[in-house]
Formats: sequence, C-alpha cells, structure tokens
Amino acid sequence: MSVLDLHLESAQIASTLDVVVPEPLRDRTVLTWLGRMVNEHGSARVFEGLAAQIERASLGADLHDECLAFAEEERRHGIMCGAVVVAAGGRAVADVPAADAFPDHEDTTPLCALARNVVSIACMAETVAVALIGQERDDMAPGTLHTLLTRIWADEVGHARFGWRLLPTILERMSTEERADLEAYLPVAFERHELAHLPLGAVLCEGGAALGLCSGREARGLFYDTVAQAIVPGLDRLGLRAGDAWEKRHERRVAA
Amino acid sequence: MSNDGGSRALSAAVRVALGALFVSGCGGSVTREPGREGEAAPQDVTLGTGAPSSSGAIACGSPGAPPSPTSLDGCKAKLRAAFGDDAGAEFWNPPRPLSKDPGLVACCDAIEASSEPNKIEKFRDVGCCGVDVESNGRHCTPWGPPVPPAFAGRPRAHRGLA
Repeated sequence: MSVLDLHLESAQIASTLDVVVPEPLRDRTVLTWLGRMVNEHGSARVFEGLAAQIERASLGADLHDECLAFAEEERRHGIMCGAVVVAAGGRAVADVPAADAFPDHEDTTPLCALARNVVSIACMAETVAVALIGQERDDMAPGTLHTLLTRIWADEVGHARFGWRLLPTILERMSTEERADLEAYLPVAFERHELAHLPLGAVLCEGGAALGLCSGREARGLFYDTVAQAIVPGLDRLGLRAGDAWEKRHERRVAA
Repeated sequence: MSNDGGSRALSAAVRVALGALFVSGCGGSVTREPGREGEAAPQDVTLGTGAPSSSGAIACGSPGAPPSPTSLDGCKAKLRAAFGDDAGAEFWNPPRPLSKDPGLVACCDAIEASSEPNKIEKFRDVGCCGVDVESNGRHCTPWGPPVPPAFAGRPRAHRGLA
C-alpha cells in the first residue's frame, strides 16, 4: 500500500473551478472523484507498459513516444480529478494498493502480446471511456467542470483512436496462428471489462449530473451499447470474430 | 442521463472505433445481458451478518491484517451467499443502495488488503462493487484503463508461436 498525494498540484487547479457542492452530495462527490484520481493516475503505468511493448515489437519511435505522452496525460487527468476532490472540500490524497503486474503475455509472441494489450487498453477500455465520459459531459451544464471533463474526454478519444489505428498495422504482421491466439484472448478481455463497472447501487441523485456523478445502472446500459455498436463491429471489421468472443466471455468462469 | 446525451456519447465511441467508414450493420452481433432490462429487483437476497461461518474459518473481522487463504475463501463464500454466483456481472434494476453489512465490508476490505494476484479482478468478481467500502470507487469505475488481464492457464511454451 502506498499513498498518492496530489493535493498541492490539484489545489492549484481547484482554485479555478467554480464548483458548488451541496452538503448532501459532498461525500459522494469526493469519493467518486478520488476514485477517478487514483484510476487515472495509475493508468500512466499502463501506457508506459504498452510503450515498452511497442519498442520491443520494433514498431517505431513515434508510436512509442505517442504512448509515453498518453502516460503523462493520464497523470495530468489524475491531478485534474484531484482538483474536483479539493473543490468539493476533500483532500486529493489516497491510499493506493499495490497494482497488478502489467502482462507481458509470455505465453505468446511479442507481436501477439502487444495486440492483446492494445485491444484491452485502447479498443475496449478507452472506447468505453469515450462513451461514458462523453455521456457525463453531455449531461453537464457549461462551466469550468464541463471544460475540465472536455479536456479529459478529448484525451481519451485520442487514446482510443491510437489503438484502433495501430491494431490493423499489428494484424498485418501477424500470422494466422497469431490471429487465432488473439481471438482466443478476446473473451478474457471482454469479461474483464464487463466487470469493471460502476458501483452497482450508484443512483443519480438530484444535482448529481452537474458534479459528474452518474448512475451505475445507466452506465452499464451504455457499456453494453458501446460493446454492441462500437467495439464488436470495430473488431469484426478487422477480421476478428469478436461477436463470438463476447458470447463466450463467461465460459472460462463456468469451466473454472 | 438524458437520452440525447447518451446517444451522442455512443456515437462518439462508434466513430472512434469505426471511423468515417462506419456503415450501420457492418458486422458483429451482441446480445445484452439476458433478463437485465426491466428485470424486477431480486427480493430474496439476504445479506450476510458478518458472523463466522459454521466452519469457523472466516477472519473477516480483522481487515487490517492480510487474511489467510482459508479466511479469504470464507469471505468469498459469504459474498457469494449475498450476491449470487454471478456477483461480478450482477446489477439491480431498479438500483439499490450499496450494502453496509459489516461482515461484507470487512470481507471486501480483507480482499483489498490481501496480496493475491489479480486481486482487483477478484474484488469485482465476488461482488465488492455492491458493498460500501472505500476502495469501491477505485476498483469499480471504468475511468482509466486498467491493467489488461493475463491469459491465465496458458503455457509459456507458446512464446515461439510464429
């Protein structure tokens, strides 16, 4: 367990936010944005891991550097989320548990290992983020918090596009066996992202949309729509049988 | 969420994934979670009390110390009893408040404090996203891409695939 303390950096941004948090929503606002602060900041090392994989796969310095820039953006997002915590009266400080190791996927080739992580990070997680953060942004009235959310959302769009742009390049270099291996991984990735949902009982209360709070149930609905209308067709178009993979996502759990 | 907002947000994700070449119905089929939309809230769920099981193996009441594998299994059983076998993928319609049951809170805190590999996945999988614990906001939000899952059970010998 370590401590993530972004309070000083976040407080500088918080002073520019005109966020008014009603007392009944204070705790929930602080906890929600503190969670986002930790997740966003922690995602920096996900992109650093991906950058290292790109380097190992010899895909070029530009792609590597672009990925490292994404890591910096995630750290910046962490500070921005912390600013909302501070504006709501909290401290942008959180205990952070030891993170899971970034998977090198040593059971397969470097190219297929990279493809697995590009699919999971950009084509799934960040594509869902585009929809979910976009929804919150659309539900929020114009103001400084809307501007902050727009900045984060725009970066997430860039992260997702990066993956959808890179994946065809990787697939072109992969053998038939490697593509089959990637398809076998898709149910694992789908199941993981299905589980990465909002708190089950989260209900959007009056005034919550203005503070970036959301309904867990509605977010899950948007998650399923994004899978059905964006992720599966996007992967299918690249020749990956993603629809089948989605249907099989729980089979491993049953088998286990 | 306004329908208009949700629709625009979804369109943005579709444009990102499919780009300018998107044509409606260009492939792929997905079924939504069966029985979720419009499904009545389960009425027969009884949350645990936090008391030790008959085996006496649970040590959920001491979240400060990492639990032994036995106690962790006990906690998972308690959570399964509360949320069902498919706890990780479960959600309720209409939504219900997060459980504040002390036993479940202690179990999720214990999982959080454990040194198990992939513990965040396990946290979600056993239903801790339905429990009012501090780490809920960290592990149960899609913000920030998580560490991709490993392909468990695959032998390393596949490395020489191509």
